[in-house]
Amino acid sequence: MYNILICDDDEDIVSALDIYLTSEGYRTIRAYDGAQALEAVQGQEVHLILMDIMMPNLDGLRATVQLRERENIPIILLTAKSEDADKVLGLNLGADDYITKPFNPIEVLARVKSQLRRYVTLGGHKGGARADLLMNGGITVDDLAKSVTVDGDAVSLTPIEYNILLLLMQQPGRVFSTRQIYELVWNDPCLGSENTVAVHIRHLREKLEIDPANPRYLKVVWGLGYKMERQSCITERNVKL
Amino acid sequence: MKAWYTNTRRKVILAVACIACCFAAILSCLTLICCVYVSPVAANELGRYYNEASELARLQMKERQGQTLTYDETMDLNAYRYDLDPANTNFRVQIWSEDGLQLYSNLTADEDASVFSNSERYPTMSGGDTSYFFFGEHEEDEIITADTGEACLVVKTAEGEQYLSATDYPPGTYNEYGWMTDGERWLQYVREKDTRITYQPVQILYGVADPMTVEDEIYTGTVRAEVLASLTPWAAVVLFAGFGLGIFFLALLCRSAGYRAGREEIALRWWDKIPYDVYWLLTVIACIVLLTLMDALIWALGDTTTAFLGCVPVAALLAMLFVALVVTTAVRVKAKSTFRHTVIGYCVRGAGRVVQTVPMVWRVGILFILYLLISALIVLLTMMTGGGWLVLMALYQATVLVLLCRWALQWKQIRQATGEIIGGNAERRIAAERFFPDLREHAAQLSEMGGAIGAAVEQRMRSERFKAELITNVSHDLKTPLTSIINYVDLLKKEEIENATAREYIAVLDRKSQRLKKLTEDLVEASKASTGVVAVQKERLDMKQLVRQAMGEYEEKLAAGGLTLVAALPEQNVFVQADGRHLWRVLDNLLGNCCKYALPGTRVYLDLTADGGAVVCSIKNISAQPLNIPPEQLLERFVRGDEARTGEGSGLGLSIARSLTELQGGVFSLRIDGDLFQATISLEPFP
Repeated sequence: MYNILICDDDEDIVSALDIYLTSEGYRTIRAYDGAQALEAVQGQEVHLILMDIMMPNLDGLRATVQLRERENIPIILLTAKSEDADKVLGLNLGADDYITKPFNPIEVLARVKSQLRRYVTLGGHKGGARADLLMNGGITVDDLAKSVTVDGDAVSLTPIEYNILLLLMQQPGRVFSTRQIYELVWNDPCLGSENTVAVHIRHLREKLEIDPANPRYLKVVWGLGYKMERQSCITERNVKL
Repeated sequence: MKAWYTNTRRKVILAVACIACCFAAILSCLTLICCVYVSPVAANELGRYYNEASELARLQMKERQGQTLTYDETMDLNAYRYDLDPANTNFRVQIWSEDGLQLYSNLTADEDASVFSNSERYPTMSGGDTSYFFFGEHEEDEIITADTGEACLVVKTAEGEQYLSATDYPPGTYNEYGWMTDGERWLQYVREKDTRITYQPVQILYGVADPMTVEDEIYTGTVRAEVLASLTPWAAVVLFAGFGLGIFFLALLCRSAGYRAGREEIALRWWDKIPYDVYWLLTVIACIVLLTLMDALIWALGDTTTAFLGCVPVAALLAMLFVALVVTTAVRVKAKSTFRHTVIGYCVRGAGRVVQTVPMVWRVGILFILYLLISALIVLLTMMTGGGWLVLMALYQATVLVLLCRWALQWKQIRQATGEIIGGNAERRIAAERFFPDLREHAAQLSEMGGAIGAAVEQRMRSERFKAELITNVSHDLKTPLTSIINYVDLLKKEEIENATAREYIAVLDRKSQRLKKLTEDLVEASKASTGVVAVQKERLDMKQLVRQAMGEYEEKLAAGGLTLVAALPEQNVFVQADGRHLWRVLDNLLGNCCKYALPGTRVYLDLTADGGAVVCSIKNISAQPLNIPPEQLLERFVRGDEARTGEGSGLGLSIARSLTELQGGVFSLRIDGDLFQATISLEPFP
């Protein structure tokens, strides 16, 4: 039974989210501005926070900063501001995810689940204890068992897809061009078969990402190639406890 | 320090002290002048006695020679004898003839020739002279023209008059009367050749009795000179002290001049209000009057103490005038009315104002003619009265030059300011109060223009900011209620509703709210793209790679719509400098349009070429709906191919695509030919 704090100044949105979350089996706590959110976190154990940014009293970003001084709870920011700058700012300040309004409720639920998994199974994430166990954010690739899990759920991939994922996971953050991916995975010189790579990447994305249209892990660097975005692990976060 | 500036009593005391010092300085200056001037006085007296003595001796000699003296000569002789009597004068003289005969002496019994060696005390006289006595002086000869036309000399001899003709004498010689002729005329008279006149050399020894026995002019003159000499050092001290103190007090007076208690600005008294040049004129006239008065006084009373005392009030008045002039100048300078408040200044300004009313070109002509006239006037004056006016000419030309330079400097300032305003600094203002009127107007207009430009730029920037904020705020305000609509419609969908009609309605609501969501997002994006608010991060990327990636994304969607993608890409890599995300968005739009609007079962052609100076990517497809409208209309916002306005699209896709392309410096063009739709993007290559 997880406690989820919903914080937004629009009552209707809070109600709607409440209904969705309760129907999934979570317990919800409501707050309507940043100050109330901080109070709620003081008073009881909270496992995840859904926070709006534009709120009176204390806005979402400031509340995030204050929260992060003491707590390690995953925070998902919900907001109508969809600028890249805002997203980057939110994530830099310590939020774990960012959903723009109007949102797809299913996507919200999926993200909530993903963040909870990662938070709760904290003990299991030791950050690369074995050389053939690759982890990046919620994705874990066990090269020994040739298995891939995303937020704890197993995902089945074709061999080509698995190899591509392995290649990208080995060097998170590095941009691979389609040509490089082809040559390294197919072991053949690339002769106009770059389309194949693009198609496989798209399949991978659909299997791994919650929202394939806005991928979190498998990002396209247009004109240059593809990369696996390096995710910050919860244990890596610098928390002033 | 400032407190005593306004204390009138102290200032008056200061003024009096200053005048006193100046007065003392003037007096001591006068004294020193007297010292220098007076000492030769004794020499004048010596000269008088000397002349009398020599004349006395000459007359006595004439007597001894048996000539009779005229009445005047006899009277003179007696007078001289009286004057030179040792009981009446201190002057001692002896006159010896060439052959050792003493002609005259007025030494007393207990004096000797040593007296004659003390005339070094009177250094203007040499102490011993050789002189000549002339006898046989006569009236001047005349030259008349005789009836025959020749020049005739009339000589006056003891016997009477004689008439001599020039032609009688050989030319180039002197006759016995000292006249020379050239055979026709009498040319010149030389005294030494005149046999009527005889002369005898004598030696004159003179000096002053020591000690002096009589109170004659020599005595009084010497005494006075000694008194003055003893005064000289004191006078010098007083002069320097008075000068120094006077300057000091004067400086203090000037510092405190013009301030009155209770007022901040300079206060002008009635004498400060007289025009400056008039004041100078009055002062100069007064000085001339006083100096003339002093001169007359001295002349009338001679070198006496009375005359000196008479100069005292004159000196005091001069000192007062001087101090007053300096103080009023100080006040005027502080009030900045020195040159403005003059008659000449008013005339010039008045003339200037008159000249202002004349149009500019005429004005230049008039000024030039004026310049020529004044130059001519000065030249005329110089020719008439001598070289002194040349200085005025130099001054005049220098003034004109200074004015021209000043004009040039001001003009340069204006040019500089103009350059700055154009360069972007619209706030530049020129301090043009002291400029010539034309330039001042120009500078004022320039400032206005700069202000207008600045205001326009400010306005533009504000509107840009406003637009950017508007987009953000509006999008936020649109999206928040939209979120609730979508959420609750979704919840409604999950509810168990038996009523089929209700379910149908809910489905409609769902579709429309999703449409609204898409539309809002597209609208915000279109606004941002067209106003340029969106951030563009250009980098070097491979267009071919990007096109392949896009193709990879869309291959299955296109296949699902029954469309076949045919791509023609070059062999080598094609590099451009663009923002990858935006470029993807453009391709995304175009390929998405293909999926939405292309006729199923047809092919979509994607070409990428990099020949010449541009990288060109074009996408061609056959439209499902009839499309024969001009491309510009299609690019308009909210215009879609099918005018029924149903379906998925928002009508903004092409508009966004064009804005994004142009933001990156590229060109977006459409071509419609029947049902063929071709979109082309061209970018600059980046090797």
